[in-house]
Amino acid sequence: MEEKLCRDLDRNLQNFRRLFAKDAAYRNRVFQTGMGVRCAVLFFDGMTQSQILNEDVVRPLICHRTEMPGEDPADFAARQILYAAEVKKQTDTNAMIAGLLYGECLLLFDGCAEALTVDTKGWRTRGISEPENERVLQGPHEGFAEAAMPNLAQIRRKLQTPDLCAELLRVGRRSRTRVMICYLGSLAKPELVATLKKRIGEIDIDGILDVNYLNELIRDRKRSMFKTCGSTERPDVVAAKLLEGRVAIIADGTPVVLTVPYLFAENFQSDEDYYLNFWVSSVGRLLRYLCFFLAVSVPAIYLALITHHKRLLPTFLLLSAASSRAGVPFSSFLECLILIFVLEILKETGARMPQNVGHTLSIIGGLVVGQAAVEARLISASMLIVVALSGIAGLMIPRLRAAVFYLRLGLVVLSVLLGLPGVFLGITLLLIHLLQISSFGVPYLQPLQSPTLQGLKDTMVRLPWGVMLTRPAFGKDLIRQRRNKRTK
Amino acid sequence: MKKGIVVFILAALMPFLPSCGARRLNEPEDVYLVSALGFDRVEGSLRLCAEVPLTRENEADKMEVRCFQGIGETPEQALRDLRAGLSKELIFGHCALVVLGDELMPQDRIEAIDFAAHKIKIPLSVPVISAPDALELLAGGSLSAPAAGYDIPEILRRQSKQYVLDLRCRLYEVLAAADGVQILPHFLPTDSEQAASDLFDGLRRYDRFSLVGETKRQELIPREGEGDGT
Repeated sequence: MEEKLCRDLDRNLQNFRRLFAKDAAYRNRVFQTGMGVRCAVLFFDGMTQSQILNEDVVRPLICHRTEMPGEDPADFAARQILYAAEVKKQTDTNAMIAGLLYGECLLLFDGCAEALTVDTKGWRTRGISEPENERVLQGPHEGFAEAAMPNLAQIRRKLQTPDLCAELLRVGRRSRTRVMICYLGSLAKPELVATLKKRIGEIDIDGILDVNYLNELIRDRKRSMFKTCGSTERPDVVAAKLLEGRVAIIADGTPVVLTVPYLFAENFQSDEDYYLNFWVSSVGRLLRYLCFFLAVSVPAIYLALITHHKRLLPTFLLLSAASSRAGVPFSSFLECLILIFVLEILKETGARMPQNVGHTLSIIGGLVVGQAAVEARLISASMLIVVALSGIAGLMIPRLRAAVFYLRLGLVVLSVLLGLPGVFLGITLLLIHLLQISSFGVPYLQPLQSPTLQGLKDTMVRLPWGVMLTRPAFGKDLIRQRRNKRTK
Repeated sequence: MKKGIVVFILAALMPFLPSCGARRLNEPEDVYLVSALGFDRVEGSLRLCAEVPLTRENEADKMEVRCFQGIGETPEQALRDLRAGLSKELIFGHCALVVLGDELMPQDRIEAIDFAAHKIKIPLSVPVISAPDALELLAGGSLSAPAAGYDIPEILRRQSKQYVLDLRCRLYEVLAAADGVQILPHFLPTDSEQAASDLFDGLRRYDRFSLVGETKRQELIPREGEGDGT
């Protein structure tokens, strides 16, 4: 609305009615206040809390019978009459509309060219529950919901320090989504915060409906299959990342929070690693690295061995592969491709189905169809085992799901064209690509790229807290823990 | 700049790829894995026989073998003749045994060993044995395992434990002693009624591939506390 408020209440009301003429949820009510001035309350049904609106806004305005001491009725009402905690005087009509659309109510007074916005937000949000895809056996079971402010409150509950900064930005030409940048002022590098704000500021898009919009728009290497922004639905994870000097991005309307910078090693870290004994966590970490290698390369290596380098296979394994392939109408390469795609289809449908149907689907898809396909000689048992092993290994590292799929496919193609040298060529190209990526100025392969003893303490394995004395190298203050007699 | 580096690395690697064994693609069921190779002299020509396990659908444990043979003046010609009658490619990398027939001339033996080691490049650790007729031994069907190529090395390994002398004579040892003395285990084809261990007849001594002596199995000195197992 371009027009500014005037002193005529009816004209102001008419302007707002015209603006929201096609919005059925728009409400307004005109009444005579106790101080003798006509007033209108504007709000959206379903966005406000009726009790606050009735008891803390309308009721005191009507019931408070007093002589107005000749001042602006909006000022007087804000100062003396309204019970609501947050009342703001507004002259900017765009800010009034933004407030109205965010669940605040707008108070217009006759003879006054200013309005009051009162915090009456009351839209319903989902309660705190454990994120489905980040479940832990041990540790906190709470997760973020869709509203930004309660999400920030959850982080603040874990980091009760005035050092926690939360800067509000608005992103999206039409959605005007609230985006908050959170960091610990004494730990996050100012350059990192500045770069992030600059990138968010440069976004010019209609709307931000999920944090992944931001992820794709602010990340480095936009076409890479490796994530350079972390995402989580767990407040404890965000708090831990903030304590390492990272910055979190909370967007209104999504339970997912982004963290930057995000490094390759974080793909192999699990939330639970820090809540379990470090021996157990370290085994898990090492297995995840091994599984990444298996998930990416096992079909390619097997294919290269059976089609190009038969001499390298043990004789009886080769005979077994040959006998299992006898009668299969497809080449090993095609068979491998079909199985990789079938596995992805099963994973995708399993993920989208309700839990009970998902279990049935995995039994039908994995066991029944798999066995029937082998018996019908459509695929060989050995290839099925190899692709299934690769698929199961891939489930260990869900954050690299997309990368694993494309790398697996790429290596399979290279292996069938060039044999094992093709596989090694693919792995070399992958390493070159990883070395070229950085996340907000931090090399993606750190601390593996230039390893230090302290840097590696939380990478391939998770050492005990007693020896993890420093933060990752990109933070401002690197001292995480000061040694005393007890930690020694 | 970065793309240039990637292109440079790819271009630098390309020339080496053909030398890495990734030249020919074939499915495992489209090849014959040779398990044993035999050389004989018959009617003035050299006979090359290849023992091949046949793969059946999902029956890797129930192995059947076939012996293919080719005749020629030289091992190369014999191999060409052998290949001419086959629908699948022969793979020699998994060959586990070389059998030299008793009728072979010393020059034939030299050519056969050289051919096996350098032309078709079978593994140098493969045991070499002698037999009156290589084809008869390989196609005899008197072994406990269907493929002689996989069974005879095992028999040799077990028998070696019983005697003071290691009975296994590897291809590289035969090559190294080409100008000297070679001692080869001698095997006899037997009928299926006999025990597999009865195939082992004794040792034959060659000097520059000419037979100079023979030690029967009964004459071999057993290890202390061990019988000969028969």
